[in-house]
Amino acid sequence: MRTLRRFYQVFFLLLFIVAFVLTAQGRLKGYPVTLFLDSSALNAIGTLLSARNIAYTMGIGLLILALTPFLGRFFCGWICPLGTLFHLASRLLRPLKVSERIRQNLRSPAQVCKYLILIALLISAGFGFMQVGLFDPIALLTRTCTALVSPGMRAGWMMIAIFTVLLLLNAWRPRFWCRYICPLGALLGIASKLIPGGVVRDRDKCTNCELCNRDCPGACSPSTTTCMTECFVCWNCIEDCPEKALSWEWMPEAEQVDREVGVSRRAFFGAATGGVATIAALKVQAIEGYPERIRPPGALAEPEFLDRCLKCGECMKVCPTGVLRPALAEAGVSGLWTPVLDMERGYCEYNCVLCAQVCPSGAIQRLTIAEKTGAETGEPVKIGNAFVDRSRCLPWSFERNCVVCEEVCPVSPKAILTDSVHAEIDGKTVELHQPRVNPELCIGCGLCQHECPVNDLAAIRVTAAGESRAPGGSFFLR
Amino acid sequence: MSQECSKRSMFIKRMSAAAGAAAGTAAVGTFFHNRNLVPSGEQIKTIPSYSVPGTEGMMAVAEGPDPALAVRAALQELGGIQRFVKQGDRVLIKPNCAFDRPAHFGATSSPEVTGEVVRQCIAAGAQVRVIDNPINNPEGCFVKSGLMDAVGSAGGEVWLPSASLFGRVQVGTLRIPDWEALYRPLDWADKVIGIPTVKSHNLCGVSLTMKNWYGLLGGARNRLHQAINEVVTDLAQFIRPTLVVLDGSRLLVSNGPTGGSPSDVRPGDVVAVGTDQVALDSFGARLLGHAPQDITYLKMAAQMGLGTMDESKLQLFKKVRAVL
Repeated sequence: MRTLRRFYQVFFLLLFIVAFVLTAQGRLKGYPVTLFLDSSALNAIGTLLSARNIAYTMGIGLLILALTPFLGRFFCGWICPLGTLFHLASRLLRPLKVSERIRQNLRSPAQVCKYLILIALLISAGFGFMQVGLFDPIALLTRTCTALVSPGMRAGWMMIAIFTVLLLLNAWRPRFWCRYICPLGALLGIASKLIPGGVVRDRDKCTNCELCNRDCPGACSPSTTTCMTECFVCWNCIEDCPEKALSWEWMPEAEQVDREVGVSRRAFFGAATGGVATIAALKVQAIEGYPERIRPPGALAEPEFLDRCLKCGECMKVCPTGVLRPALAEAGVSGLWTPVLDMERGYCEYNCVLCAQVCPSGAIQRLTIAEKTGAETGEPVKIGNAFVDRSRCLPWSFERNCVVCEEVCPVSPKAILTDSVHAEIDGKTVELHQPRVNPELCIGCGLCQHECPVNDLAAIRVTAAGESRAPGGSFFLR
Repeated sequence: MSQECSKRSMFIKRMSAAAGAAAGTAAVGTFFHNRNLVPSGEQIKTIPSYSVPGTEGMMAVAEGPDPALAVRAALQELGGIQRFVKQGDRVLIKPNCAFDRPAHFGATSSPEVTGEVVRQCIAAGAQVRVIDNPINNPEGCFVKSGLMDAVGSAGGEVWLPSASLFGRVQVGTLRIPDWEALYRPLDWADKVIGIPTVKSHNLCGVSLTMKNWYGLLGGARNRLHQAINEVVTDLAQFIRPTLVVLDGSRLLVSNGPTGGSPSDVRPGDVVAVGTDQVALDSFGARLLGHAPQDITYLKMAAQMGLGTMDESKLQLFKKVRAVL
């Protein structure tokens, strides 16, 4: 059983890595690269609560949730790539003494924490404050991987730091994240309350040696009464028992297994109130008024976008110019780590909709290049607007020609126009081309800002003003 | 007694370890120390002329609806590709692949012409690599322009730019004596062939052969526009190509150099092959309705003797119809 489980774990971890590597321009050929994000029931349920509907691909998560009452937390023990990594870390960091290993794997009352986190997350999601992605294990792993392969991505260090801490905590308690924090594990734990089978201890054979606890990843206490909501169905305990006192039984007697999740009524209401309180504290912020909150093309209007975004970083991974990066303060507290465009790092490629293709939740809606550029309708997706800073612009303030911005502007006719003025330089008359922006044509791609020669703060900059995703987004009177 | 002895040996051991550590530190410090707080400037490299002696001042124009046929017809007039490319040569081809656009938008060199040039060089026994440092993401540009497929199926190889390919190279005499450029590819090559497109340009009027070499530069090249005419003339001094194939199969007549709408493009149905950049660009300027004299950098280049604006002053000038 161990060998089989390890085979599955390695297989799914490799599958995760392959899917991650395929999430790139030129490799994304219709492969289901978001398979693992889709298979998280937490993402599905959270989005269902906040947005009231979900992408059909997320049905995989619901399917796994539906199988859990029959099979237990097989996802945690056999599939979850983050779980596998933490399993591996626990194995490498484990103490030498067997007695110490047994002590680390005893069930702890703190394992209830993950249920409280789940309750707070789902209740706040239900009220439209969607932070499920911050705690979803697959989203966490995906964005950490994105941060690892995107050098210089601001906020990337935070993700790597958090992951490193979680990795090291496995030395203190094996699979620390899975036991104490993971709300997906908690959700699957609640589902496995209904499990018809369980690990049953034969009290007559048992010598209380506690060797069954030695390699128990879920800390589900097979040495007393196995808690099936914590059990990862790995069967290590059954194999490790020298007396063959443990066995899997379908339909055991009620008192032979423990199916409680251990959340008291008081704790439940505490967590629920906590969830509501976070909303109260964090929802008190305007949806307007974030000029640097430039969202990718295809993004839903801000409230709906926030209802769905899982902060998984898939869009940032696939973006060929690297313009997408996780927001810190640009999008308010509820928008932490959601994707925003940083035109100093890149720009939105004109003939590209890769971010929309990989978004697992539909926060960035699927769209075609023709829809994005408005090739047929004449109405392109506008993510923002460029503004010329005349005090920094060379032809405006320094009597030098430049207009790189006009040259690179990808739309036709160009959204950057120039006015000619004549200036007297060193006794010679020079024709200067001074740029200005036509907001009817500008799509906010930021190529002008990215290519502007004025360093550290470009002389032409894009802000989110005029974005087409919000109703009435234009700043003109229509 | 033994106690004494062990104390002494311990003392000696510890002192020698400390001395060893100190000496090691000193050695590492000596090895890495650098008195020059200002890093010494990178060495400026030079690249040779790639032109084949005896082929100066040649140009042939072929008109016809089939671009590949036109390339072959024009080359025929100059004596075939064998005159320029020899068995075993390493040929670097620089098309215009500056933008992330499908070919029919006319912002990039056509796959037909580029593919045909690659095929001709391969047939002559050369090894072919195709390079450009575009404005947009390089891979996206090569894929969406169709050049990736065209080059690959013709037997060539696309060389995507990366930081390690660049070096500081001597350029021209007017404005940029040296600049970051794709030195390693240029150093690798025995022959260099340019495949510019015929495009209008917002700042300098037209973008043709000379402007096309801009795609070999890197660094803060967005500053070059401040003296665009001098810089383009410098580029004509920088690259002395083996051959230029001016791709006039499509003309980008407006909204250059990016285009973006099929209405910016007119059919050109012409390919010009030659060795005189100024003559080729004068021809291209006329295709776009400009008198060569009105293009500042062409005038400057002609005055500097980099070529002629007058086709009749060429050693060899041919014009043919390329039809089956």
